[in-house]
Amino acid sequence: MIIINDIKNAFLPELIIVIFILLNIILSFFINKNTYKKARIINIIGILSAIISMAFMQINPTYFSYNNSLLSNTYTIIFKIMILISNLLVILVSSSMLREKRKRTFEYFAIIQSATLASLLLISANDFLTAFVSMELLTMSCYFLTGFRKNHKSKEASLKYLITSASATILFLFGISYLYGIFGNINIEEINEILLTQPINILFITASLLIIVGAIFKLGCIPFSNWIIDVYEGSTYTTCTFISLIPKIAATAFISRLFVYIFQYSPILQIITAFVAFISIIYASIGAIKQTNIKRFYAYSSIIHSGFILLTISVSNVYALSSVLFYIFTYIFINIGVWSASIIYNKEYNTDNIDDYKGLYYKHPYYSIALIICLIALAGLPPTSGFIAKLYIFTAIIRTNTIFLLILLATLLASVISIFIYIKIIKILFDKQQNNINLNHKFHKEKVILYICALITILICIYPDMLIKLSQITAYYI
Amino acid sequence: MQNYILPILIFSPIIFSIILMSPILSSEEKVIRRSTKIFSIIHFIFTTFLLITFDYTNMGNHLESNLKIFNSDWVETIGLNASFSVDALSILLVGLTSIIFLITVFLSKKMIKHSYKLYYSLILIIETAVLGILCAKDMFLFFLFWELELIPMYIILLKWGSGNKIKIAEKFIIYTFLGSIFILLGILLLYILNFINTGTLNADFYNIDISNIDNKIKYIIFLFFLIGFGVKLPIIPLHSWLADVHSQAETPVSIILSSILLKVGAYGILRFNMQVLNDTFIIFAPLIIILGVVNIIYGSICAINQKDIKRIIAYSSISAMGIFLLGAASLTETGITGAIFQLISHAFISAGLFTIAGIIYIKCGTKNILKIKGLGEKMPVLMFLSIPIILSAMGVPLLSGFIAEFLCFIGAFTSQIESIIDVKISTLIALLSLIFSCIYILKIYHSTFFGELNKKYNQVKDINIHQKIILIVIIIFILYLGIFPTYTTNILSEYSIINFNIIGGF
Repeated sequence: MIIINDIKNAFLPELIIVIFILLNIILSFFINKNTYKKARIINIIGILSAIISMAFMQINPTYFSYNNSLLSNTYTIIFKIMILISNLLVILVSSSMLREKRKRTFEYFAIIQSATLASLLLISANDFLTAFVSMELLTMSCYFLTGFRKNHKSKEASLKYLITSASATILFLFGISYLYGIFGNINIEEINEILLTQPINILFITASLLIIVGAIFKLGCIPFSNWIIDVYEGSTYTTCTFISLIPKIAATAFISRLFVYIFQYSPILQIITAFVAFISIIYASIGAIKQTNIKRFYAYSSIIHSGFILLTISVSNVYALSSVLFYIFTYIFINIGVWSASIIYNKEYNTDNIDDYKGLYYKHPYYSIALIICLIALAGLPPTSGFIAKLYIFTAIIRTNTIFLLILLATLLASVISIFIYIKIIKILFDKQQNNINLNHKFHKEKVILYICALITILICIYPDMLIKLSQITAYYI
Repeated sequence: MQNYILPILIFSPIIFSIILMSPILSSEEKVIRRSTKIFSIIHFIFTTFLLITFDYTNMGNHLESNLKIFNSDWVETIGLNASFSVDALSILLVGLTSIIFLITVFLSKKMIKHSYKLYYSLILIIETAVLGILCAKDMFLFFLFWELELIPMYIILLKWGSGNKIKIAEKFIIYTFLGSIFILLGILLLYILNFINTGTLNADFYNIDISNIDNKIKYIIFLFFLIGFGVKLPIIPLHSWLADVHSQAETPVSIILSSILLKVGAYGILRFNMQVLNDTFIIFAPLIIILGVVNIIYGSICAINQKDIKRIIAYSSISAMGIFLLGAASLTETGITGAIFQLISHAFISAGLFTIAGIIYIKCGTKNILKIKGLGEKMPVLMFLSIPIILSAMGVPLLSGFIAEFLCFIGAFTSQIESIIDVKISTLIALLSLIFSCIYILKIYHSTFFGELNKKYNQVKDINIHQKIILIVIIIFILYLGIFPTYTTNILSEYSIINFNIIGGF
C-alpha cells in the first residue's frame, strides 16, 4: 500500500514520462513512415497527461516518499509544470531538426523525455544521492542530444561536454562524501535540522563549495561556463533551445533548495556565490560583443541570465525565491521566442551568421518585430516581462540585506553593457544592406509560437500581479 | 468613465499604431497618412477638451485615475501602481505634445518617402511614451514610458534621414541609454531609501518620504537625475549627440526631438530634481545657474559658427534650454514661471524654425546657408510667414519668445541664491545671448531669402497648402502666447508657488 501511495503522491508524472520513454523506444522499431507527426502527437499526449496527473498528487502538507528521498509540495509542482511546459514548447519547435533525420525521430524524443524525467527527479530530490543520479541522467541525455548531428563539430562539442561535465560531477560527488563525513547523513532536510543546533566549520564550507561547483556547472556560470558556448555551437537549434531551458530550470530548483536548507547558514558561501554571479554577468556581457555566430551569441546571453538567477538564489530567502520563480517563468517564453526565431531563419536561409540578418525587417516585418520584442525582453527593458522580472529581483534583494546591495548596484552597471549587445542585433535587423537571399513567405509553425511568445512577453508586463502572487505562494512552500 | 480619461488619452496612439501595423490597412501612403491624420486630429480635439475643462484653480492632482485590472494594481506586491494623474504643469505639456504631433503628422507628407506604415506607427508609439511620461504618477511607470520612447526613436533615426545615419543613431542610443540608466539608479535609490525610512514599498513620487536620510545620499541621487535628464535636455558636457542627430534626421523627426523630447527632459528636472528633492535643489542651484549660463553662451557661439541650417537651430535650442535652467534654478516665482513658459514657447519656435529649414531643404536639396540665396523672390509666402517665427526666436516683444526670456532673466536678477559667482553677474553674461541670437537667426533669414537668386533654383515653387496651415497654426500660438500671456503665466505662477521651494523674488 505504501508503494502505491508513494507512486500516486510523488512519482506520478515521472512514471508517465517513463512509460512514454519506453513507448518511444518500442515504437521506433515498428513505425517507419511519417514518423515525425506520429512521434510528436504521442509525446505531446505524454506531456499533457503528465501535467494533468499532477492534479491527483498530495501537495499540502509536503509528502515524503521512498524513504525521504523524494518529496512533493507546491514548490516542486510549480517547477515541474514549468519544465513540462517548456518541454512542450521545445517539441513544438523541433520540426526543423527532425526534417533532416526522419528516421531517428523516436530516439530523439526518447532522449528528450529522459532528460525531462531527470529534471523532474532533480526538482523533487530530497537526498544528495537522488540528486546525483538524476543530475547524471540529465547530463547523459544532453550528451546524446549534443552529439545527435553527424558532423565533426557536433561530436567535438559532445566530447567536450562529457569531459568537463564529468570533472564537475567528480567534484560534486567529493563534496557529498565530505558532507556525509561531517553529518553522517545525506538527506537535505535532516542536515538542515542538524545545522540548526551545530555550528559550522571550515570543512562544511569546503564541502559546500564543491557541491556548489557541480550545481553552477549545470546552471552555466563563470568559471564553469565555457562548455556552454562550444556545446551551443556544435548542436542543432532545437537542442540549444532544450539545453538553454530544461537543465537550467531543474538546476535552479535544486540549488534554491540547497541554499535555503543548507548553505544559508554560512554567509561566506552566499557572498562567494553572489560574486561569482556578478563576474559571470560582466564576463558574458563583454564576451558577447564580438560574436558573429548567433548560437554563440545566445550562449553568452544565457550565461548572463544564469548570472542573474544565481545572484538572486544566493540571497536565499522567500522574496528572492519568488523573484527567481517569476524570472524563470518569463525567461521560458523569452527564450523560446528567441530560439524559434533563429530556427525559422536557419530553416529558410541555412546560416548561423549574425550579419546575414541584415535588413531582415524589410522582408519579414512582423517576424522582426516579434524578435525585437524578445530581444528587448532579454535586455530587460520595458515594456516587456524582462523588465518586471529584473525589477522584482532588485526589490527582493533590497528587502533583504545591505551587503548584497553593493553587488546589486554593480550588477546594474554591468547590465548596461548587456543592453548594448542586444541593441546591436536590432540595428542589424534594420540595416540597409540587404543580402541577396530570395523572398520566401512560407508559413512556419514556429512563427505561431514566436508570435505567441512575444505576445505573452508583453502581456506579462501589463498584468504581472497574478504571476507574482503565484510565485510568492510557491516560494513559501519550499 | 471619468476614471478612464487619462488611460484613453495615453494609450490610444499605441493602439492605433498597432492597427496601422496590422495587415488590415493597405500599405498605400495615402491611406496610412490620412488615417493617422484623422486620428491625430481627434486626439488633439480630445486633449483640447481636457485642457478647457481642467480645473486650474485646484493645483493638486485633479484628474486622477487608476488603470485597474482585475481589481489589482500594476505590481501590487512590490508597491507599483499603474496610476496616472495630471496637474497644471503636465496638462499644459500634454496639450503641447498633442499639437506638436499633429504638426509632425501634417509635415510628414512629402518628407517621408518610404516605409510609411512603420514610420507612422513608430511616431504614434513615441507619442504614447511621451504622454505616459507626463502623466505617470509612479516612478517605475515613468521609467517604463521613458524607455518605451528610445527604441522607436532609434529605429526612426536608423531608417530615415541623410548622411551617416547608423553612426548618428548609435550615438543617440548610447547617450540616451546611459542617461536612462542614471535615471533608473536614481529611482531605485529613492525607492530603497523610502523603504528604509518607512518600511513600505512605495514608488509614488508624490508620497515618497526621504526626510530622515543623510544629505550625502540625497546629493548622489540628485546628481544621478541631473545627469540622466541632462542628456535629454541637453546640459553642456552631455550635448554632443544633439547637433548631429538634428542635422541628419528628417525634419518631422527633428521637430519631435527638439519640441517634445527636450521638453520631457526638462519636465523630469522639474518633477524629480525640483519637487521630489526640493531641499537638495537649493544647494545645487548655483551649479545649475552656472550650467545654464554655459549652455546659453556655448550654444549661441556654436550656432554662429555653423553653416548647416539645422545645426544652427539645434545649437539655438541648447541655448534656449540654458535659459530654462537659469529661470528654474533662480528659485523665484517669476523665474520658474518663465522657465515653464520657455518650454512651451520654445517648442513652437523650434517647430516653426525646423519647418522652414525642412521646406528649404526639400526645395533646394541643401542645408548649407551659404549656397542658398534669394529664395524670397520665388517663395514670398514662406518668406512672409517665417517673419514672426524668426522674430520670436530672437526675442522680440509681442511674441512668445520675448515673454519667456524676459521672465527668466527677471527671475534670475531677483534671485537670492548665494554662490561664488554672483547670480546677477552671471545673468548679465547670459544676456549677451540676446545679441548672439540676433546674429545667427538673422543670418538664416538674411542669407536664404535675400540676395541674388541662384539660377539652379529658378524652378522652385512656393509652399503648398499643407505647409501654409502648419506655419499659420504655429504663428497663431506664438502670437497668442506673446500677446495674451497672462492667462498661462497666472496658472504657472500659482502652480510654482504651491509646488516649488521658492526662496526669493519680488
